[in-house]
Amino acid sequence: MSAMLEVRDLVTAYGKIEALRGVSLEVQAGSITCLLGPNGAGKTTLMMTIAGILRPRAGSVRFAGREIARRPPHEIVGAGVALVPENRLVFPGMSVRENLYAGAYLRRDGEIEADLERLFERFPRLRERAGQDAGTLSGGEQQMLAVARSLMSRPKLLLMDEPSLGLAPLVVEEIFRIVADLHRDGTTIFLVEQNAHMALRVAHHFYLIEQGRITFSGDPGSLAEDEVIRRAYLGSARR
Amino acid sequence: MLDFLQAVSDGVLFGATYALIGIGFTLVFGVMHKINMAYAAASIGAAYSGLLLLEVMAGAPPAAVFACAFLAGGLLGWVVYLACFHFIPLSHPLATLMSTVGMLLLIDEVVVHATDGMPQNYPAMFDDVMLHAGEFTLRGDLLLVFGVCVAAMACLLALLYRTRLGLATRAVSQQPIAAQLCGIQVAQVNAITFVITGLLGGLAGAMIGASVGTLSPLLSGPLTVKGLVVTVIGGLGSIPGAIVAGLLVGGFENVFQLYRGVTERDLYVMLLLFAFLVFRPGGIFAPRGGRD
Repeated sequence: MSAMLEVRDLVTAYGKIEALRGVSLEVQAGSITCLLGPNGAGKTTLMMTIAGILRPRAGSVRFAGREIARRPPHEIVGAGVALVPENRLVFPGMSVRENLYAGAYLRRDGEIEADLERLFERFPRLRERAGQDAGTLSGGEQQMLAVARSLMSRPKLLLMDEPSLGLAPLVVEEIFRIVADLHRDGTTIFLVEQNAHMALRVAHHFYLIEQGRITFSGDPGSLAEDEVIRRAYLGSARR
Repeated sequence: MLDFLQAVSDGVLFGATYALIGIGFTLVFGVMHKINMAYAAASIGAAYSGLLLLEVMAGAPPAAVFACAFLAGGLLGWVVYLACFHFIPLSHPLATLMSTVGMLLLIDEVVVHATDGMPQNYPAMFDDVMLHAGEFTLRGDLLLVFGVCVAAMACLLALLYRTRLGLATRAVSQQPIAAQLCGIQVAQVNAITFVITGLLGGLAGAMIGASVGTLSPLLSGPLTVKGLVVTVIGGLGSIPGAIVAGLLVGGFENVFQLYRGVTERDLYVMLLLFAFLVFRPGGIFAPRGGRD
């Protein structure tokens, strides 16, 4: 395996406050990598910086060997990186189908309809609601729509920012099943997650971010061994 | 009673121009959450540039004058975007308000200097045609104004709801961060929105000139206010709202012009706005799914 995404010494600031204070990490091609961390640690800032919405103050982001830091978001999407943002951010006044077309905005090939059909197979609930405004969907359905919308750009690397946030346990199960499915079909996934129990079941590598710095890196086994992480993210119960 | 109906119908027909101006304000607001105070002035300015065509080419047909105003409106829209929005920090709430007010004054001054402050005759679309139904009359030129404005609105709606550009525009107005994550370039969409609203404004300006018969730089102030009134009554960011409110304001003011005279007319428009602000501050159609 080689690194599909390489983040080096990334610094992103809001005014004088540095939210990322030199973050370095790697996402291996074909893996599911999970970023854990408390609220305010910089998880969303990191995702937004990789996706090009925020401009880093320093450092580099390399995707498939190409520097993408400080590039505009449309170039990053075009290169094959898609972000499913925190809180889903669907277009509420547009139909489910239009949301999906928006996800394919940069594509000019003739396979958009075929991809739409494939996504409807994967998410039958979205097909049922294809003509409905996205704002009327439930939280779980909106999350599926947000995932499907980003898949419409045919990403090589899928960034997911807390896809289970605010969802009922059964829906969370479903989201993680989808994550596993996407991975099996060949998509590399970089996931931000607070739900460490669920993440442990799918992810191959873990990072912990605290106060803008990476403080832990390891595989699921070493994560479960780490005393501090176990107490903070897994509760005391140990399997 | 007949007078009343006559006033309503004339007013509603002319109100289509207010609807277009309202759409211009509301569309920019929907996409950028900013008010373009220079919009009505730019629309009148664009109508004036139709007259430039008559300067170079005496005897040009009215349709060419209107086409010229239409295109000049688009160009002015782009200039307003560049001068007042593109290089100015959008995060500052007052910056673009001030830059567009400055642009409003600049456009008015240019017009005053170019015309020595004299009102200019504007070509009518055709010689007076009146359609009679008993004692009720429909002014042919107002009907055409109405028809042109409705056609322009239909084109706009088709653009917004049937094209890739329209999809991008609605995406940016509903959820700008997600739009960027889809690969949509927000700055580009903003600029195009200004060009499109500018085209509509140029058309509205020319239609106003044609149905009033003259253009004066004094028009831009009241038209700015009417446009904003229409936008607020319709619901900020709502296009159907702007259309309904434009026609409503047009009919309403003409009725009061009939009964209370032209000098009191705008007073009642302001009272209508006041009533809306008190009883229905979100407007007729509060826009769904806007930002926040």
